[in-house]
Amino acid sequence: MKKVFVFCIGGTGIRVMKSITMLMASGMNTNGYMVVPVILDPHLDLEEKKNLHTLLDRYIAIYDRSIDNGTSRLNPLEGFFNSEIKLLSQLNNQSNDTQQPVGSGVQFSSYIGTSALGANDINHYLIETLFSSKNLKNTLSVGFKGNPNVGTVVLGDMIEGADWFKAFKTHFEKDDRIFIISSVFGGTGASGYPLLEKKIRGSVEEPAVQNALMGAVTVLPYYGLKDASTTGSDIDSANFYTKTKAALAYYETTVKSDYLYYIGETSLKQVYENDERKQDDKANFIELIAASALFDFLKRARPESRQYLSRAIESDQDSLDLSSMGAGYKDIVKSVADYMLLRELILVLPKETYFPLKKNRGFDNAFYSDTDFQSLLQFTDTYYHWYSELAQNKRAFAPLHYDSRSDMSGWIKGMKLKAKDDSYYLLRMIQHSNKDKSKEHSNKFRYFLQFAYEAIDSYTSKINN
Amino acid sequence: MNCLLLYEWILGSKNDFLKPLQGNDAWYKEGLNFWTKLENNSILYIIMFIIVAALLVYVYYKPFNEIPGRHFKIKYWAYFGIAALVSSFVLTFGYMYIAIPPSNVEGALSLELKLAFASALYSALVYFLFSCIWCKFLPTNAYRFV
Repeated sequence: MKKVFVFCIGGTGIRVMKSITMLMASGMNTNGYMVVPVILDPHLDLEEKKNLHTLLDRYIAIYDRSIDNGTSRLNPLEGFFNSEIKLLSQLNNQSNDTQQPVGSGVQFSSYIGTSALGANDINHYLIETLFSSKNLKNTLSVGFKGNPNVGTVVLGDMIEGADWFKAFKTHFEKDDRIFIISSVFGGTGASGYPLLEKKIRGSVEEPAVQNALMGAVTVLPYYGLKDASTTGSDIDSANFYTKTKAALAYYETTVKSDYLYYIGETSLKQVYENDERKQDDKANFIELIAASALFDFLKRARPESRQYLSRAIESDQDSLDLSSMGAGYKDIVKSVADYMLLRELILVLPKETYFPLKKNRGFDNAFYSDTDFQSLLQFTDTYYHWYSELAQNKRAFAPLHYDSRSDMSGWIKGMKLKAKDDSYYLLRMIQHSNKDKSKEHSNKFRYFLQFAYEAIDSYTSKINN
Repeated sequence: MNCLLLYEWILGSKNDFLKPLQGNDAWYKEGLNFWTKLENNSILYIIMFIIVAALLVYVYYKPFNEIPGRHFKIKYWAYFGIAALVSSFVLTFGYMYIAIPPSNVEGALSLELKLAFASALYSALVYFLFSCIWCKFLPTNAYRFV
């Protein structure tokens, strides 16, 4: 099966990968590509990195269960969880930890070994030119704190000779693709993207890797941080744009991707707490759009010349719905609407004592208590929080009315669905189940996802008209 | 065809009805006439409650459960059962009122009410039996709880 290796560099890479995972769960299609995420962030204790790993594990468990047929595998479902994600460690059957302990309290000056230089060594002047005294004193356990000059040195070491990079090259096959996600205003992404590109295009002993069809999404500044002087942080969002300009000037002559997507905001609409340890940044519309770049990339053929792409919205509103975003966003809105409807069914069905599929398909108490359904429930809980963050952030992605169960016909703003409440979806699930006479498998979990999707899609497909 | 035997458990026998009227020839003759008309129409009472029950079973398991609204819940099945009961009662009593001229014989009205009541109960029973058959053999979106 063809694969796309998705390198998620830094905090933005992690958040965009989260959005990719949510969109895949919602039914967005990777055009037959298996997604292999590779997460590169030296920030050791970053909560959102751990959360992403948990999310990916849950997705994989749900996907694997949905195609399980005892000793054989079924074709992927159409709809929810239709595309495969596999970790690099699973491809390689061993642990390939991209979380190498470059940090752990070590100062950058120690990392580059300035103490080994003689007092009169001329290299001191070089170091003073390239790095400030603050750069040299910073510890690496929380990443590069918006300093790509530091990131370039450390990440270069991280990639060179790393087991995971060797494993990536080993498992890369002719029709596979590469996609790199990074921000251009931070420390890790800004340095990591060109470094990684260089390593890939420099893999002369692996021609398949060297000549791979490669795409990248570069995220321009889209949020600010509270004043660094009041928080004691070393990250100052006042110079995000300066760094962006410097990085873009560098990219202009050095970028090696076949498709380069630029995503950004018109201004820094949201200001977060400046906590370099926690980096507790809520899900943002820009990350969602950056995620959509992967799905676009996977549909495109190899271009004759490098392509630079971006996308816009129809109307500059603080809270976006389908009409203010534009018709080009129908697929994203439908996917998110579908999954939020799935959430309604997941919450309601365990309480329906007389739901017919309880008898007909075994959706009984044992089914709902089983680890598979519980995994789905936990994943869905994370999904709900993710969407809620998107809907409350600045700029908000809020195309749904999802808090009115008594009238669900307005579920998607600006459209009227025929389904007035959840009983419409329940009935459609029953009807689809009754129509399905195939005896191909007895996987109840798969039937649940299949009939739920068919029921939801029968109403929400109207969005494409 | 004397299907009134099906109702004997609640109506009593013909003799039980006519015995009190034996002292008066006119009342006896009227009472006998009344009972005979009841007997002659008895097959129709049975056909009525079977049709009512069958129709309501069909409507519940097919068109009603093609409409959203959680109609698969047991309470709706029960409502349809009650509807079968009430409809049979009303139809049976109504038919007797039209087909059999009113009689002033003592106990005639009571007999008609008892017959209609018994038809209602039979209708509920047939509703239940037809529901079992439907749940076992025929397609539906409803919960097959019987």
